[in-house]
Amino acid sequence: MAAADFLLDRFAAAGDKTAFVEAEGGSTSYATLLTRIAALERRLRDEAVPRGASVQLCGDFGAEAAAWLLALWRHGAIVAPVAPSSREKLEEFARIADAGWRVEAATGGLQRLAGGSAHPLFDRLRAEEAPGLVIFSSGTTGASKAALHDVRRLLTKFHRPGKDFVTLGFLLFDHIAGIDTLLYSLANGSTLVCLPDRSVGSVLARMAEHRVEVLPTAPSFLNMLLLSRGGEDLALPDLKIITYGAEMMPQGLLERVADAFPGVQLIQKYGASELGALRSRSEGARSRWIRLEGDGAAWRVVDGLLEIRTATAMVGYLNAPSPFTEDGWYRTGDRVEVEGDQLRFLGRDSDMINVGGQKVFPAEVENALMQIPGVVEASVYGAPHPLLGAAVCARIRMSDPEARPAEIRNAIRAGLAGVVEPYKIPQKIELASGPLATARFKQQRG
Amino acid sequence: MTVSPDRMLASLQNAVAELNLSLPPDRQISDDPDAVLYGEGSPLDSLGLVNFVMTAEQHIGDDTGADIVLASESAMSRKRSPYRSLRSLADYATEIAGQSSAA
Repeated sequence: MAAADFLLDRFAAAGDKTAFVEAEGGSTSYATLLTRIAALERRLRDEAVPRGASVQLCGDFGAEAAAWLLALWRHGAIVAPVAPSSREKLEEFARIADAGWRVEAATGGLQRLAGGSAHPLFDRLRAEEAPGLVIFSSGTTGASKAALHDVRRLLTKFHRPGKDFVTLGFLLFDHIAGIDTLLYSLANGSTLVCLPDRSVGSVLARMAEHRVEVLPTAPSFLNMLLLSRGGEDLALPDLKIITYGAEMMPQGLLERVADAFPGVQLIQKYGASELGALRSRSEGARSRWIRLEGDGAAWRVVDGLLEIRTATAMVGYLNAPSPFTEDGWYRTGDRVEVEGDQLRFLGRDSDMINVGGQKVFPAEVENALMQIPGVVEASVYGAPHPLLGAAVCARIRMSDPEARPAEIRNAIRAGLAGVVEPYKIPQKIELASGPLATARFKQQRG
Repeated sequence: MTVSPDRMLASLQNAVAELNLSLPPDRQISDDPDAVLYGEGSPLDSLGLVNFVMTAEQHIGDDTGADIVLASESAMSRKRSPYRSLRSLADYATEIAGQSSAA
């Protein structure tokens, strides 16, 4: 019995119900989605894509990308999704996953790549005819880390029926939380409303027009949403639940969100590329204390840092040493406090900078800065910032000490565009006149 | 330190000019003091607003010597957002520059 068969049974049961309100307008029913999956499975066979191949899937939420994902999984493939916001990393991701094929969901393109779909962990999945999912996250040294998941494990929690809500496809198609939203919605025959872009205006318009009931998002988006409305009524009468995760929720912001959305349930979520998305329960709308529960997940705190063991954890990294302890606990690096069976997140135990839920490691940005002509030294660190939680700051020393600051800042922005993702480009660029004392800046990052 | 709202506005417009150099033609920020800066119809997304605010702080520091922070919990909890236009942000900058020199 293939891993995703139960999903297809549920699509058949949902029939003419809308599966996706598409980003570009229009909608797709579950019946049509089923037809698309069958057609793409035939295409994979016709084009002789080997079962168990490593395939890069470029796309965003919508019926086409979802149909490809499921057709590929039914074909036993190991799928590495790439959302539009990760396009800068397309070739790097293909290399790490040794991808043999690339799908462009938007155009229907299926292209042969140079990769040989080879990896000892892939062999383990293929031996059991298990499909795979590769999720990338930023690594401390600048190279992306690839977490390989066994799709059978990821899908286990969706066997049990959940609730049927109209949900917004806000999170990213290539992040674990975004995939979780997609699978939850599909497993329950629900409607996922997709976005043409993630601006506040588009989000509000889509939510009102399609009567969205669940908004899965990150704290900083909620901040920007409140800010852009400047106290005006948000007029979202259908909204029932807001889930938030991926970064720290400041108490002040949580209070403002609770005030702006009376009667809406606010739930903190927790997940990691390495673990999958866990089930969680918040104590109350204004509380940052949560319980992590269900699906065989257990947690413990060692030296103030959270460790988690769960049946949905990844098989392993494709390109990094195992982050698990010998007895199978994942070291999250999240500093927490504990009260009874509840947890509260305090921050990270690393120099990782969390910009609106997206992770930035200084080393990657420093390496990219050093490639820009004229840059002699670069030091990158995070500073708390009330708009997006943290801001990426860079101190730069140029070979020409007379260069004008505004011109240098522009040269830096231009030099990083297309090289690193937009959220990794320093928002604050300072010029140093003397050498940067590395040790001192390491301390500043702490 | 007393800095007039007009000087603050000029610094903010300098920050707009700097950022527009690296923005595509359809995402240019208007230097009209009363155009929507952040909100409905604005080309700025959240990262763009953070970029703008931090660049603006640097220009204000360079132009007037005032060391101010334009993004704070108190700025965000105001009933009317200071980020709705360049003029409202210049007024806000003038107000907090006055407070920090009085303290």
